[in-house]
Amino acid sequence: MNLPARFWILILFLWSTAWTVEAQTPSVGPKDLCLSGQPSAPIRVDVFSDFQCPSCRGFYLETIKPLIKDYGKENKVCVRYFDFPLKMHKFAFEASRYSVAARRLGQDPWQKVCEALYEHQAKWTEDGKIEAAVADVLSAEEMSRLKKILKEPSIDQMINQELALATERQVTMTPTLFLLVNGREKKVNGKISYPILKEYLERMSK
Amino acid sequence: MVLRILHWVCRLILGGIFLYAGYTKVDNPLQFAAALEAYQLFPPHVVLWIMKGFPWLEIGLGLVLLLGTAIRYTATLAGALLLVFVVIMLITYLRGIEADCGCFGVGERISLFTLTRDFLFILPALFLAIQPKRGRSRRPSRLV
Repeated sequence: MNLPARFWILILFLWSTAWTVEAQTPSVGPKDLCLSGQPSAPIRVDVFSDFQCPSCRGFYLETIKPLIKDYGKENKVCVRYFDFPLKMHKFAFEASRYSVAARRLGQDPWQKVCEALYEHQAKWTEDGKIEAAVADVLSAEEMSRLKKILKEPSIDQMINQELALATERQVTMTPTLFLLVNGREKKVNGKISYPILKEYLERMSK
Repeated sequence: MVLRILHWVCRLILGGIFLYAGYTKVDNPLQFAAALEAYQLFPPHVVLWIMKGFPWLEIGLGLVLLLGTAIRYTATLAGALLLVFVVIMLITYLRGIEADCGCFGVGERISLFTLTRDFLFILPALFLAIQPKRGRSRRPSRLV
């Protein structure tokens, strides 16, 4: 094989590799990225949630949001959100797709998307217009990237993996929490108000 | 004799129930708090007090019942507490609120089964409250 042929084969190989890398953004599971804090935080709160569930909405806005505000920056608590869309909620799976896609934009956009989904739950539950709910909180560039990511088949795969994980962990309702403090994990069915969770976390982390 | 055996059985059952119930709440207080909040009856600061103090009351009651001290009073208190639980659970159930019982930890929804079960727990408490002594027969004293 002469040099020009080898050269073009190498170029072709490099080009096809680059194309493959560009087409798929890396999967980011909730185990890799905390909604708030870092995986190294001493306390971990795993939440299995459904974006169309009213209790989950209340739990996020009234408990998780202040928790993120008070503890997120100090890396005392890592909050991991797992998608558990219930079949009885018509748009829950689609909403989860937006959340999973937003993870790949980073922690900050993901937080914004989750909050927007819960804030505007009543509206998109009625009309199914989830993109409109999310578009307001992302920049044009982020939104463009999000739309591309939404087309990837790995998004649905990720949600199905999280559903399988929920089954494995015997999650039967939303929200369901798993708190890992001092090496001990506790499961909680249902939502808890922030003053109670805060008091518990403060007591357990002493 | 039968009454004595029944007495022991009731004390063991009731004492065991309260001890176990208290233990599950001490082990996972947040689950207990979540169940209380789901009842939508108490504000968060009241839930916090109940979450902290109530499990120890249950454990204390359970121990005293097993020791057999002041049976009439402890059994009456236990029965009254159980009645309050059943009433609260019934109200929650009739309101159509889906909530965990919170009786023995995670994953027990309020249902006709849990309501019936908890109501039946009152029976040993009632028996002990009415028959506090261990079935000793009272013989009339003889005048010599």
